[in-house]
Amino acid sequence: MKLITLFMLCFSASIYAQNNYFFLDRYLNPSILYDLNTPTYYLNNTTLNQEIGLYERELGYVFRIKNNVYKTSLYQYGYNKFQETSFKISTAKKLSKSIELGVRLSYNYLNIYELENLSTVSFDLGFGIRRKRYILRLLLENPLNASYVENDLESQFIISSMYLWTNNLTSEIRFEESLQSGLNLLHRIKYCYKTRVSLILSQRVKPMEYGYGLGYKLKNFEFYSQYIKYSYTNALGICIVYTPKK
Amino acid sequence: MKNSIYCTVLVCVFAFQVSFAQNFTKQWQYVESTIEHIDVTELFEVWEYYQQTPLNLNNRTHVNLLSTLNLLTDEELKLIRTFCAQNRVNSIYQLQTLDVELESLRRIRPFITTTLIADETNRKRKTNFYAGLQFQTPQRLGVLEKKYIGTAIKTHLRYRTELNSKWKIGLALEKDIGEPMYYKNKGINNLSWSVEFSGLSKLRKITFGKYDISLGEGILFGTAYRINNPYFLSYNKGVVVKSSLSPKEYNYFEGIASTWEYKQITMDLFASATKANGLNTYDNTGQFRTNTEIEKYKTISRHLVGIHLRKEHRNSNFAWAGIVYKSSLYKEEALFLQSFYLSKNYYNLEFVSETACQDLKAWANIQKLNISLGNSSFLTVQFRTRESNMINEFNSDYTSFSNGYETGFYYAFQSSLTNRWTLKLAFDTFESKQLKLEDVPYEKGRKILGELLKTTEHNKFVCQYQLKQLKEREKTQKVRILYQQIQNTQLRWDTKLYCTLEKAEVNSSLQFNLYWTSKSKLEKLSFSNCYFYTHNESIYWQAPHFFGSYNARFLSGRGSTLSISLQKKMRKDLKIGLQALVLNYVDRAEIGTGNERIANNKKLDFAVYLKWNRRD
Repeated sequence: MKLITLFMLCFSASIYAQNNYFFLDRYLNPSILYDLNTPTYYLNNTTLNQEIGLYERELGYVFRIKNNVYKTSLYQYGYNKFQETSFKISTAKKLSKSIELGVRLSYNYLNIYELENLSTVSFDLGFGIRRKRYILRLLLENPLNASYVENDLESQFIISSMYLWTNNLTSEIRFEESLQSGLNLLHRIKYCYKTRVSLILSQRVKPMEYGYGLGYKLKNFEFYSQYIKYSYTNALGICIVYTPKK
Repeated sequence: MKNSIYCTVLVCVFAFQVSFAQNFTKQWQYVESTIEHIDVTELFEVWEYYQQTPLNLNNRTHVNLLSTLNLLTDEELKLIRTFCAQNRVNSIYQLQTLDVELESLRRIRPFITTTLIADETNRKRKTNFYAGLQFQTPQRLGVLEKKYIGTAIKTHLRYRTELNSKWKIGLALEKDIGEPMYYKNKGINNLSWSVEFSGLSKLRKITFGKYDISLGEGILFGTAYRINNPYFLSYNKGVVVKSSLSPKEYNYFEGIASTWEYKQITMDLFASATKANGLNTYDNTGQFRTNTEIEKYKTISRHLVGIHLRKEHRNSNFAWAGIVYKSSLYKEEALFLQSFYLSKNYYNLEFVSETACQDLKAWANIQKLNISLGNSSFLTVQFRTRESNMINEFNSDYTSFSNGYETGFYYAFQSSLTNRWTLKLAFDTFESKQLKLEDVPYEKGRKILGELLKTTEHNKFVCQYQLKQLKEREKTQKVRILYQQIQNTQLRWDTKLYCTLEKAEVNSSLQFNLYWTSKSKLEKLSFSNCYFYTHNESIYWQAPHFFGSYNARFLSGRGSTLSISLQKKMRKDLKIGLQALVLNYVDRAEIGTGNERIANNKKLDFAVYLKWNRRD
């Protein structure tokens, strides 16, 4: 039993150690933090629409105090006349060998040029359960439906199940039930080659969207790029992750 | 309010005795993972009854009653019935030699005995008492504006005991939010009682008070609780009269009933006089809170006298029932109802037929052929018909289409693909027989149901699909996915996804339930969260089981639900439970209409219960 647990921990840890792609993920589950190397710095930038200059970017820092892992980040979304900024702080705790709990607190600020300045505080809850080759994660995003005015901040429930086929290959199915847009399904496959190169393919069902990403690890740096074909635009993003040697 | 508190305290003091405690976690776990719509309060009433009155595996009638527990598959039931008919059973685990899973046997264990009646004098007497309160905030308009006559608290009390090995008594009292405890000139609100005497020579049992009647396949009478599984129709058989303390306010009988046995013949005699709710039609809402609603309370008199004769052979059963029924709603002469039932086993084949008639003028009929194919496959073929002028007040839900006025053909197949995987497929076609205007054609339709099930020691995966197509109407498709994981002996969780596609619109809900039990097993905590988003079809949602509460809702619109419950054993015999349930809509400013309107988009339901179980 101990051997299985040890194998499980090493196995899933190795998967994460060689792949920080999820920093590009819009809905990062805070319970995932426990798997990260600390300290880690990252920066991602995604251009959602070049014509109007719509972008999404995030700068973050992951660190550990005693046995708890924390992440702080500054997130921005919008274009020159509409800008949403969020300051986020998250933490994760291991409740038992196989259960993790994460929480994220966000201060959200919305600026509509020469019109409105609005702010609100929201929180997210993340929960992770792992078996030998299987990880289930739940994310309750903004469960109290905090809003700037009314129903304008995403509130959704995400259940993601990840299956670890081999040391290199993982697949993930994610169900997202949003109060704003209803049910959506995403599936994703990740493949890592010799812990240096990683390839990610993803597809979303409603509306039909797809994307791919490529990652490369060089010493303490990891570089990721991704392309996503959204129903309304084509997005191109890059992410740089730096994990200093201890 | 004062009345309910006094009542609670009085009965609590009365029932405060040293005892044992039984929870139905295993049973609930099974039911919740296999069946979509469950009436929790009714089902627990059934389990508690059989926990107190266990079924003897060496009694053929009792073995037939196993289906009423709703804890075994059709195939398992058939195997157990066949085995028990041919062997003397000394222990339930003897059934392990059959192809019945150990888990299934553990599930039914609390309701089973193998001892003969003579030995039962030594068994311990059981008593249980339950008191529950529920209220919600913000309050409904009817409460705030004092349009409701009663208090804003729902109260439920139930007491059941064995006076000795022969006598059992039970009493239950329930009032809903806004209902008074006592109706002027109409008596106490929803009071149920039963007295049972058993074990006197040929008079096997005599029951006074509230009871259910189930005949044959239920096309005439089938009021006992049965899970209506829309995917795979299964039928109860064997039981005719069963006393009931269920809080249901319709579809029940009250009076006297007796069961006599002589050699292979069993005779049931029953007489009932009840007052049903309604004025020009029956009112099954069960809510009588305002003066207008109370006008409908217990206004229709219904009388019934009947006899049921059943002869059992080794491989066949024949039964006939004759019932005289009179309802003041019809303002006609009494109806004479008859039911003819036949079942015959021949190796791996089982044929079942029930024909019912009303004054020899209107008919209903069901015929069923079950075939066991090898050790792991099962096929059933069923034909049903019901004429439009046939009574349907008390029939059970033996069809997944409508109220039963239809001609239909149903066939289903179940096979274990491997040790872990099971496939079920069912096809149903029907043509309505409901009375229509001349130019309106009878409605026709078909339904396809599929289920893929994977069960291992630690997890369960169920994927169900349903396609319903009515002629000249849009088709409806439903998908239900359930994944259940038993993480360890203390922790269990499940996720459920419901998805309904109607008129190209997706209606969905995503739910997560977590169940935690402390190491000492004295505390239980459950958490549930559900997000729903619907356009044109409501979505069914059921919170984790909380004793005595009907925790299910049909949800429409956009919103989320959250429930947290804690159940704790205070002593060996005493259990307490607390539950909070929040419903939050994001697409509306207020919930409900009329007197039920709540001037907020959120509401909180709070429930608390106390339960004693005693054995001495």
